Amino acid sequence: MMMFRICAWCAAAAEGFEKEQDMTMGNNSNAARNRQVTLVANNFPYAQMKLALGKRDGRSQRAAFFLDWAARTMPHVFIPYNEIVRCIYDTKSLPRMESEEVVALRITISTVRHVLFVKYSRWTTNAVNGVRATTGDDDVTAACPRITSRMDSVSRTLANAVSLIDTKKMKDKQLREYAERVLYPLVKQLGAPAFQRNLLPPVSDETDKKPDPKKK
Amino acid sequence: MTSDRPLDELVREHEAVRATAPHVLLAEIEREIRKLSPSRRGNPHWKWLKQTLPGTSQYEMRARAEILLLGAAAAPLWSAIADKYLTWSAAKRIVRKIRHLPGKWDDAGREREIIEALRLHKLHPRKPPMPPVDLQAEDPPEVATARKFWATLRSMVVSYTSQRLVDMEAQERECMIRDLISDLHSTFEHHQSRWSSAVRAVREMTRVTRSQLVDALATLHLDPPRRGKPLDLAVARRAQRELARQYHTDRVQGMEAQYRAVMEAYAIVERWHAENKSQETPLGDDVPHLRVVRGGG
Repeated sequence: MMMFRICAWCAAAAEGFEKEQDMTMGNNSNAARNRQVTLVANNFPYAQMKLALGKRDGRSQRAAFFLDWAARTMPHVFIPYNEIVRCIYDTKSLPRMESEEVVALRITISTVRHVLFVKYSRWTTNAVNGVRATTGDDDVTAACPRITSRMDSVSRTLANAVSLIDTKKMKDKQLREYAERVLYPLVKQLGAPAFQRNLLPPVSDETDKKPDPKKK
Repeated sequence: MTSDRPLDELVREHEAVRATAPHVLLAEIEREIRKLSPSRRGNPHWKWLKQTLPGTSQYEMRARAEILLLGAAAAPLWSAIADKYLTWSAAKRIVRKIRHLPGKWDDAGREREIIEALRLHKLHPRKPPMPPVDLQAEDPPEVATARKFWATLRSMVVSYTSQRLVDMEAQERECMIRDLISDLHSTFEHHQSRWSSAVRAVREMTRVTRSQLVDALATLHLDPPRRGKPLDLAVARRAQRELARQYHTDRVQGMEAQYRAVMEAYAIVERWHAENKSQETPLGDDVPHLRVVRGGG
């Protein structure tokens, strides 16, 4: 009985001490733990990356390797650009978003995407200041509406430009032929309702259904 | 050097005129007494003087002695002290300033300097005069509440004691009540200070620290603001909404921890913003919080 009481007291005291220590060290919320939840890139195998890349050791290659590794180890988690830079250059401190390296990576992210596509058969998705590689067919499909929305804007731009053309006033025969044979039909095809409908983002069945007023 | 008059007579005269006589006369008598002190080389024996003239302030005696050394030139000073225009410390300060002036000054020159010093003292007084107390003014609400509380308590104690302690004399009872009230007062004050310090400590402990803010903003993919710079809460809000949409269970399964982390991170950022709102400066052209760079798929 005595032993139990001593042990219970010790446990309570230890718990209290830990709590007090947390409070004094400023860890009274789980912000640090949450950061660990969202940024788990601390175990990135830098040496393995160096070995795998060999001479093709550029920024985009490294970033693509990292994103592939991240998609395998922590799927669906967006990694901030500065975290990617920290991992691929193996630096201690986290660079700021406006630092040169991070800005350079953001500018060349299209190259990274190309490397990911060619080498690792993946695509990228981004959110806020983070990016991740896609993890499967569903993920790629979910990323496609963003591209289709760009196609929509391209078709509108082309239609606006073509609307300015008056073929009767054109002097160049070759260009007039190009406008009549290629551009006009293309604009017509792009502006067709069936094509435009396909460019819309996917809508779930639940939202399609209108609420039935008779039910209430 | 000894005085013609005996010490007893001088002391008696000092005692007799202490209350009424001008300070010059007192200073002269004190000089005579000092001459009779058992000191060597003409140094006044202040301890002896204090014992000889009990009830006289030693500080005033020293000041009087210093002013007396100026001779006839010190007339404006004596009158200023008599009018309570100058404190003893201010008078001593003026005397020391005059005494350390270079050159051979005659009485007229010294007097001119003293008048100038008095003028400056009037222009730049060391201590501003106390504002007159307005006895008719109403108490502030917290003071009025405290007064009401103590009056009620006192009346309760008085009624209780008058019922219970019938045999006790009125004066004795009044003494006891006063003691009790003063004890209660000190106890209340003690506990009030303890309580307020505890509240302050808890508030300090629960404040969002810089490291917590940095962690929370990293969760939201944002940079921490530089020290002393403002935090754009709208940017954080936008990031939180976007990430919450990405990690929501309706979109992907198994990302509950990330979703919770994002929501908690924004709560921390919001708390920090509320706590540090007063320190912020309005957003200017300098150092934007986040530079938007085009890129990404």
